[in-house]
Amino acid sequence: MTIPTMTNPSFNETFYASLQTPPTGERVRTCLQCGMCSGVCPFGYLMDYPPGRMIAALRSEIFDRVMNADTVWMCVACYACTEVCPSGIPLTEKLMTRAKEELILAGKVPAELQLALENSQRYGNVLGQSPRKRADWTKGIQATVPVFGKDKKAAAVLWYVGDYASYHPRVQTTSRALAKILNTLGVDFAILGSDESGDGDSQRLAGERGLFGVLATKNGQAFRKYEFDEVITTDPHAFNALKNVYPTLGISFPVRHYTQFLAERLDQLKPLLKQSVNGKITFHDPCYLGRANNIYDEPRALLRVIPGAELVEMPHSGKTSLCCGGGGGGMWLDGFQWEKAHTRTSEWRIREALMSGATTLAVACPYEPPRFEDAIKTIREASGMEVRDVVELLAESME
Amino acid sequence: MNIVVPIKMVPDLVEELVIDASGARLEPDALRLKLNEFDDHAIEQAILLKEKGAGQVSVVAPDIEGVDDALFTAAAKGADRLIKLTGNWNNGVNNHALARVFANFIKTLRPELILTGVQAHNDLDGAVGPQLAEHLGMAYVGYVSGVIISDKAQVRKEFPGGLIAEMQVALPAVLGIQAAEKPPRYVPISKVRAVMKTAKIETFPAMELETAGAPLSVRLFQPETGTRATMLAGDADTVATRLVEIFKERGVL
Amino acid sequence: MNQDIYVVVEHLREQVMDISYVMLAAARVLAHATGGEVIALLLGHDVATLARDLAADRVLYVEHAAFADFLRTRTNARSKGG
Repeated sequence: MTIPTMTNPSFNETFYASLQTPPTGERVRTCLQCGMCSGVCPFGYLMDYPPGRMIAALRSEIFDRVMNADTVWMCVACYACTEVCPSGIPLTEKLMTRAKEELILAGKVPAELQLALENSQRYGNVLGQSPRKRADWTKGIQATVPVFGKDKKAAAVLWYVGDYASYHPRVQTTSRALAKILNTLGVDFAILGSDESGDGDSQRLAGERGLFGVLATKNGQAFRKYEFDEVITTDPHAFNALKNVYPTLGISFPVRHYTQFLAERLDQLKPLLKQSVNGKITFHDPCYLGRANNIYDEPRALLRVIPGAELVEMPHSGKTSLCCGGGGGGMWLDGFQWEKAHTRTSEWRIREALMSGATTLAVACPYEPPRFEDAIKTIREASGMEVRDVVELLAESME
Repeated sequence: MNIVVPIKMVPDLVEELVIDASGARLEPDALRLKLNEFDDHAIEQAILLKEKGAGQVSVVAPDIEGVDDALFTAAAKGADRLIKLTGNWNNGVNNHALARVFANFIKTLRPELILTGVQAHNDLDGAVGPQLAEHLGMAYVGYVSGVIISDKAQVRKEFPGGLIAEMQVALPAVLGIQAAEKPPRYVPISKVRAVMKTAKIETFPAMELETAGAPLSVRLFQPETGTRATMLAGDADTVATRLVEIFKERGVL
Repeated sequence: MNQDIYVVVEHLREQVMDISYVMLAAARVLAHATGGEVIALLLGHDVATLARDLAADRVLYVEHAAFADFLRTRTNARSKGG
């Protein structure tokens, strides 16, 4: 394999070298060309250069052809390839993201994604909403949601809410549900309110590392103003960023997904759950909770204590869970991806949920309620399927 | 060739607009400003021309909060000179004054081509471009959606009903850009950050503001619901007679 | 102050554009208030016939060859999309 030549390294050489950063980057040199990655990738069949073929292109020094293809934007950063790679190559974080980065640098970014990135930069949230209104979801609700700065300067728990949970009407429901549960459990918490910026993790994985840095720095500054023992969040993408990437920028504190936080308090929670849930429930493992961070048990433990809950599993579950299609920029590439695929992974997932016999699809990520509910609208047989975040099911059972 | 792009910052409508105590203006403290979208297209069109070998691009703006970001982003796209005009912009700036300020400065740059956004959402009558051209003694074509430069400029101008005209304009000229040939490109943050370290924003004093000629806002208000419709009953003759009476009452006939 | 209200008539391909009729109607309302006249200003080349159906008290028609491609772009305009 070529080491970059001292005089005039080619783009191919520079790119290939840039992938090989320790601790795991050099593993790209041990790719067996086995094809597992391309095979397991939900859109691998559509890509001109799925992961394995991208590496082959690098080795053949024809990476410039990859730069002229646009199918890398089908990648939803679901970590399926990373999970199955026998050489342990960090395909998602390094290869696919780096390819997207280079495309963006070359000015080749789909218009939908461009808008999402510009919104993130300008408004601190990908939805392009006013940052001043980030905590408006807390107004007029029954639960009490203290805001750092306004209501307190210190709390045991900082609840990092995130873009969709703050602004998206469907996802605000999960925020209200968690607020209610935290109140009932007597947790001392607060949110950052309009001081909070988007976590930027999906934007990072969509190729905008600079944007991620800007958002992370802003969040770091906000965090530093207050005192707290730990951070919880309903967003596995934020969880991933805060836990695994922010520390590399010097922003570090204990952080957990809310399912871990509540699972710890199972004994406190259980007696409060009075209402039964009807029908079978199946849990969709979010990519960033499951494959990316190895959290599979806690959400299920929470579901099992709901009266009447009968858990069933879908054909793909746990490590093999099928992505909803929202990561790596997928949330903001629906038009682009639809044009190429004429199908959505979220639709496949709903069909799997139907196959499992469940009538409730339980989720634990803010991208999922809107994505799965939209998918249900396009599948006639699924009209009876309901999508609920685990926290919503818990709150509903507490009534 | 010297291409100059005068730009302006306009209220960002994502934030709620608040009317100030006088009831005639927007409350400046509640405002957040962003680059006029049509000026963004003007910058893009200028850069596209530069990429085809047309020449140097200078972006000129009044020194208003938020403009540095717009200027550095333009530099990251390829703009050569970034210029801020300092002055008393605190009371907002009407287009008559702005056109004079731009003309006064831009004539020192001796441009062959001036591209500016044809309008802004707070300037729907697109007054800046034509006035700028008039002060500079140049031709003006508005609603331009494509520009080719040789010794003249060949422009595509949109007319109502989907009609497109291709016109030749002798240079120097001012073009009011409706849309660049391609949508404004995305600039990765890392590029903007890099450019902030190398590019310099030059500042020059703007001339004294002369606002003469501009309409004076006496009242600014949210749309108010009007009175209900009146239904006219009766046969055709009765209704027609009544209609004519109404037209006369209203002074239309 | 001149009480008259002037309306610049926009025309394209031998037709007065709808907006000009709207402007003439609005001018009538204003002239009613000022007590002046509505005067239509028609600039063009070989478009005298357009002066006929304008709802104005007077029409000032300015004829010049230079106006041929100015407001009426029949020779240079290419219709987009048929």
